[in-house]
Amino acid sequence: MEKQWRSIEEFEQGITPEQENSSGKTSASRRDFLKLFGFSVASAAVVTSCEKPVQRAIPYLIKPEEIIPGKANYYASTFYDGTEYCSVVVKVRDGRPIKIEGNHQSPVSRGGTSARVQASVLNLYDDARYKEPVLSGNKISWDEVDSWITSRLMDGGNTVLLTPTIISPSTKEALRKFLQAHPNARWIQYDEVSASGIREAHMDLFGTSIIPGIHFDRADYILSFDADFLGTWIAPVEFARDYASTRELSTAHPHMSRHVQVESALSMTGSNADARIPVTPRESVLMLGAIYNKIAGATGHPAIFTPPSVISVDDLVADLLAHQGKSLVISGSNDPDIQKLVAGINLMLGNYASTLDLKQSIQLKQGDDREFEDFVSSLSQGEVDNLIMANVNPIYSLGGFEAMKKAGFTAYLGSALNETASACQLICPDHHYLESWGDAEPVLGSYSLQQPCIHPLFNSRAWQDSLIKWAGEDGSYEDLVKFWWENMIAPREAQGNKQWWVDTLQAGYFVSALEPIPASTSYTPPELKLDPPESDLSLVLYSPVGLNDGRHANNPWLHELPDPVTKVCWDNYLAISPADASAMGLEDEMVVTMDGIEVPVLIQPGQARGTISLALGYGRIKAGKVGDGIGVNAFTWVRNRKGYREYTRDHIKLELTGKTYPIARTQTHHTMEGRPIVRETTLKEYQSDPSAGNHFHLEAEAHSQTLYPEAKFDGYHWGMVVDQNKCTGCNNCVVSCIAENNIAVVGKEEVKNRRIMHWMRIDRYFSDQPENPRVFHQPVMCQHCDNAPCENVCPVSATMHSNEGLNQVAYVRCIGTKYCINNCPYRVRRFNWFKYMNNEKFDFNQNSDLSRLVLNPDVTVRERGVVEKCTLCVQRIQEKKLEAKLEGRPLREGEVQPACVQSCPSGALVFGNMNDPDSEVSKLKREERNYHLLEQLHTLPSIGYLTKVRNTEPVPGEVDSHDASSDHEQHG
Amino acid sequence: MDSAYLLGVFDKEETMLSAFRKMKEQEIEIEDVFTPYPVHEILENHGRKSRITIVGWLYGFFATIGVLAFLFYTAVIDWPLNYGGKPSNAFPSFLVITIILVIFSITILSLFTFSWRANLWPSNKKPIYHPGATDDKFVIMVNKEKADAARASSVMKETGAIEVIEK
Amino acid sequence: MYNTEVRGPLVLGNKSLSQITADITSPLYTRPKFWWIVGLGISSLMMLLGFWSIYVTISQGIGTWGVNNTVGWGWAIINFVWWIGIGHAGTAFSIFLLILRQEWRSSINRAAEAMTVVAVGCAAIFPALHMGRIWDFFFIFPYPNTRGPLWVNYNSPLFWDFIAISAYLLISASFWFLGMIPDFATIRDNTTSKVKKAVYGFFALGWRGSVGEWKRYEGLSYILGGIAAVLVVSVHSIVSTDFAVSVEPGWHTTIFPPYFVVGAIFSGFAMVMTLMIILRKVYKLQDYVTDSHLDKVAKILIFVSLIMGTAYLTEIFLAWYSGNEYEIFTFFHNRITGEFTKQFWAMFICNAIIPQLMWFKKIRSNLTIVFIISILINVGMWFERFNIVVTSLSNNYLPSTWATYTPTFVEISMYLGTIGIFIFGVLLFMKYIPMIAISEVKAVNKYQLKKK
Repeated sequence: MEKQWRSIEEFEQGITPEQENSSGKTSASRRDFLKLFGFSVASAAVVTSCEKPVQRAIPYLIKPEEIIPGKANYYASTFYDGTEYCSVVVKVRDGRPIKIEGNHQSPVSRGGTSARVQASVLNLYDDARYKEPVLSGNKISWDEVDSWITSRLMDGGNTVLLTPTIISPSTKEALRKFLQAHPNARWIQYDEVSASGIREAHMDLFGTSIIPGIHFDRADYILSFDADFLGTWIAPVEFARDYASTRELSTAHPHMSRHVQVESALSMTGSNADARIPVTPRESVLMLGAIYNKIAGATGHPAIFTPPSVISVDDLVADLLAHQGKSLVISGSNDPDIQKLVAGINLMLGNYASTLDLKQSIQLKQGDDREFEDFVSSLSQGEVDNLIMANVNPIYSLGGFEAMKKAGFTAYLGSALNETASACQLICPDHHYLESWGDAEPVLGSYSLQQPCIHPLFNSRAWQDSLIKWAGEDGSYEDLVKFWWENMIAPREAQGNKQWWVDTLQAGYFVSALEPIPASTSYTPPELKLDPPESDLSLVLYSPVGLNDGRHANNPWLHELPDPVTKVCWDNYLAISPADASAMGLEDEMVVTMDGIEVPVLIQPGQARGTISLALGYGRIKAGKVGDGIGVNAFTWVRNRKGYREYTRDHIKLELTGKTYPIARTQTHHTMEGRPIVRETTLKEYQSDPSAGNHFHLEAEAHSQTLYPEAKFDGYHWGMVVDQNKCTGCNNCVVSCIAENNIAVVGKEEVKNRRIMHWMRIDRYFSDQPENPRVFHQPVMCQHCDNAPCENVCPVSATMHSNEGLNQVAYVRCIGTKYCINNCPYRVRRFNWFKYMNNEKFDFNQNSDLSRLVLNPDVTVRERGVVEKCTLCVQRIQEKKLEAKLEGRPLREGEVQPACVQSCPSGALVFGNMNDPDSEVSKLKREERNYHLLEQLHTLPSIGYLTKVRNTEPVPGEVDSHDASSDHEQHG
Repeated sequence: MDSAYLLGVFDKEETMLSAFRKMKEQEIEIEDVFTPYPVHEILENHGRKSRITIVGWLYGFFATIGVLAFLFYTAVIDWPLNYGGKPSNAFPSFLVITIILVIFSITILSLFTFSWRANLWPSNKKPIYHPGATDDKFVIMVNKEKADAARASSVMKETGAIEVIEK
Repeated sequence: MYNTEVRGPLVLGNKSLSQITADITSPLYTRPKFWWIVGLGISSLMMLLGFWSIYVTISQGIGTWGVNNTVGWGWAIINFVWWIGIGHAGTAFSIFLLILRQEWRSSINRAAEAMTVVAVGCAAIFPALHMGRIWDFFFIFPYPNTRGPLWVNYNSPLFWDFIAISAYLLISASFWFLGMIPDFATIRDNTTSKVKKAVYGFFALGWRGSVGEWKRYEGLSYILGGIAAVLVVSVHSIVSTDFAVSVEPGWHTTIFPPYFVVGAIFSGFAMVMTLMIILRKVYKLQDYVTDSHLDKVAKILIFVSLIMGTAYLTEIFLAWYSGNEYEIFTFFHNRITGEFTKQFWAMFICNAIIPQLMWFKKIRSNLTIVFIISILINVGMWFERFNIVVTSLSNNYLPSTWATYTPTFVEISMYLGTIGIFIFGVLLFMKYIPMIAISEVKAVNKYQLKKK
């Protein structure tokens, strides 16, 4: 039925009629074939869990016109894991999904992905997945399951269906069927990290329980309270793209937004702010109250009662009032009162007309904490007979779920092992999202489709299918999706039109027109009396960029992903401010006990005094071989306050234990030592002098001399530009690179030994005072120098320069003298210290037949003892060059995109042909902001960096001068 | 027992040398002289030539040409590559290699030449006329066919040979 | 001809030629002493440890060492350079002293050359094992192959190094062996034991001491001498290019070649000193290795130590004078002060300061102190290589990549292993090979005979 498109380009060109007809004819068999093929490669290796991967290749009898062995197919689909949404394109090679790409057609995520999304493909091949239905320890068939359940449900006991937020219209329909069939059944949505405060606030103010659409791109002034909107808050991918668009600078357009972050823990978002105010949770509430009152005063609204704020908010208020209707105030708090204040401020500033959108509201995070509380209490009173849970993990995220024992019968519908599932009587394996149909409505009116890209690896069943079955209806969920889209979502004129469905499935998304809601301007202030938390030592719990809320805790790629700010892998830890640490006599890696639980300490510049912070998502005990027992479960400290899940605690007591616990960091020195590495200037200076902060570049160019003539590159000369003003340090590129290039996971010990294999790293530097440092993120990959020092010193010619300016490594030729590593001033080369594949010592994804299915066949898996590094995804370049050659044309601009570039949510990376003066790269390289890393060495890198510009008052002393904090070596 | 050689054994370099000189004056052809260490007067006057130094020089000369040619062929003609933006004919880099390889070849070749010309090789069975010659004796050997043995022995005796052996 | 009256006797106690033979070859005929057997035992244990570490390295990977993606070279390279340096003594002795017509060398150079051969052998172990894929070692030979043929990269100092070391090993070995041929013959002709006769006869290559043999022998010695003279300068210069050709701060300097050569001779002479002091003690060779010999070596050490000190200061001065912030950081914040202060000052004091004590005749003539100093010099030289290799790599251009380095047990045992090999080799040498070039000593001895 549906027709896939091999690449975004092909989709853009549209499908020619012949293709339609042909595809129309063979589509059914094609789909089946795809399933079979995927099955033959994958499941044969897996279900039978045989020792070695399958060696036999299956020849085609009739080759489906779509499948060319060794050529990838791309399918538009949707990633949604219960908290995060992303529209994706799945790269399928020989029936195996091996890579997630961003879908540039999507109006919501617009080609961006996040580290979690990139890593999700590995979860498909997770050893911890359930392989067949299990009833109290015994494997059973689906028919047994169905009969068993239906019999139980027919008893008419109270049934509760606990799910994460459901944004899929078709799933909601399936739920409706189920609830209809079982009148005693209730459906409860539950968010580990809840945003019901926002919904509650909007319920009060606007009468609808929504999260408004938040449009950073329309904001000139952004004021964020503890909201890590670039990292994990609500819809980071969408926000990052919008945010980055306001940070885009060029001599043609020398304007950018100003972003002020008020927060306790130094979050990734805070590290990108133009100005950052570290405060305790209490102070942040007081500041909000003060701002509210001042703005209320200025706009003629009644004030509310609030204790005075010790921190002056005058200039914040001034800026806000100066940007009425073009500003944006957000808060990450889950307290409805605070969210009411925020909404009130935005209303008074008239932002609801522009930067905030009541119409296209965000559909994520629909969980209602109070409803959930009621459910828990009724559960603990034994009023629930049947508890059916789908893809939620309350035992973990409530820090224990005693009440569950009271339920007469517990069933779990989910894909992978977790604490809750293993405590349930019945386990019904769910598909991974790459195996199942589905759809999503992340933003009201914006839909996207999810299609299976591989035949289910195990004897699993979409949980929606189960619902339909248990509702006593027939027909599959697949049919339901199609039906729903063709008849409910499709515009009237297109309803029942097969072609519409095919096209939409191909694009992966559809936006429907909405009736406009009049932007509400009238504002009736709520009666509010702020009672902020005590200002004691307060604990702040946050979702880390890697593991988020811990639902992917068995994913080694995410565990080995260094935190954007602390650069720590494989652990969570108590971040504490340098001042507090010295006051309490704490040092890095010391272990303290907090409420009897032992946690290691990490001194974190920028952490607000009087606060400590701890990452959620760690401390899983039943996640699988990788995730078990890593870190501590921070959800233990999450508590309900006034009926809302609160992610801060006060009156925290720490006791020293005298123990120490090693923490693995990928970077142990945190200042630039005054070297011109990340160059920085302020907007004012940039406007007056575009090369501000980058004068060293001119100097280096002036002194540039060469003994030998510089090498010429005819044809293509590949290069990249990194816009450090857009890069948020979100680590998406890092995971994308891991997935594309089969990069090995080495584990905590080896990371500690400084042997991480990541080809792409994001260096992070601090400057200024440790209380509130300026933070710099700098993505560093192989610079592909035209005068590469590494090439000169290889005795066996294993590394040399290609005629397209690529610095290449011949793995088969390398004998591992490591001289190239020493002679690379950027230290981007990686040595295979051990055999990382099939080695019990490195029991991660590459040590499992199942997980190895994720390997990219286009990229060699490196042997022990050879050196490897970034290739600018040469395999992608070659693939596209071949296509172009077959069509007898040169490569088009933007046709080749390395993995890191393709899915960068903020568009900070640009790749292209430097020989073409009109290419985006060449244009950016002509910008005055452009410079090269360590250019004084005359290595002539092909990678350019654009000066970071902060929209702030000129800072005393540029980066070129020695930083104040370079002598704060206790965190260096 | 018929013997081909007459051996004059001396225990001092000086006496041996005086005998040597006398025999030279009287034009008694001396077959060979065996000494525990090089006695330069004999090496210079005995009349044997060795061209090994010249040969060594020739080896060096041709090795230089050969090595440079090889480097140029492999790096520039046969398989040129771009290493760090350097031209494939990076002559300065070649020099180091040339020096070492030339030294190398000279050594090996002249070692073999030495072992061939001075016919020295493992376990060859050359007759050892007097074991003392490698310890503390100086032995002058005269070939009976080529020289008058009687005169030779008398000369040796009067110049203080501790013994004169027929072998 | 030579004139040595001015320099006083080279060999004491008016030995007759046969006496010399007897003295020098005596270890061959006496039963091994207790300390010799003990020494052999200990050194073989150390060798075993070394072989274990080699096994671990090859079977599991370089990951068993402490090196990492920032500090790619560690103890292996340090020890490699260290051993090569020690090896230089033999060649230096034989060549420089030959060229300078220093006759007294003859009583020392045999031991020195033996040292060279063993030390260079030890050195060669490290670069080989330090390769990630030692089983593909042969890739480094420029031979026609199926890959294009893909030759090798002549720009790489490692390739220069490879051929330089191989040449050095071969030449010093042949030089050594050549010198021993007449002595083997001597043993062959004087021993009573059939076995010895056969074995030494084999290696004597049928030497008789005839005119033709001596003539060509001398000719060849001149050739090899000239060659080795080039080698002794070139080999360590090339080793130094392993560092000097790179872009690393603290490595990229033109002072390296001479600095390395001098350093090598320094450590080599120190090691000779160490060995000779032991040898003459245990084998009562005071008459051949006279106090004046050691005194001369000591004087050389003082002089070279001065050069070393100058080199260190020059390096530091140039780092400061260049105004290059990376150089300045490496020298002033990572060596003189900072993470690696201890190693730096250990180097400086042991090499540049302590040897200066030997200006005093009292100290110079007190062999115990001289012995200790000679040991300290080699300790200092080890730290010099540590300074060069580790400090530059650990904290270089991008602070984000800075990392430190600590050796693992495997690396340490490999080092001990090579020391074991060295001692083992030297012990065998003492027992089975005339420690002093008999023929040369005889040649020198005649001057005493003349005098009386």
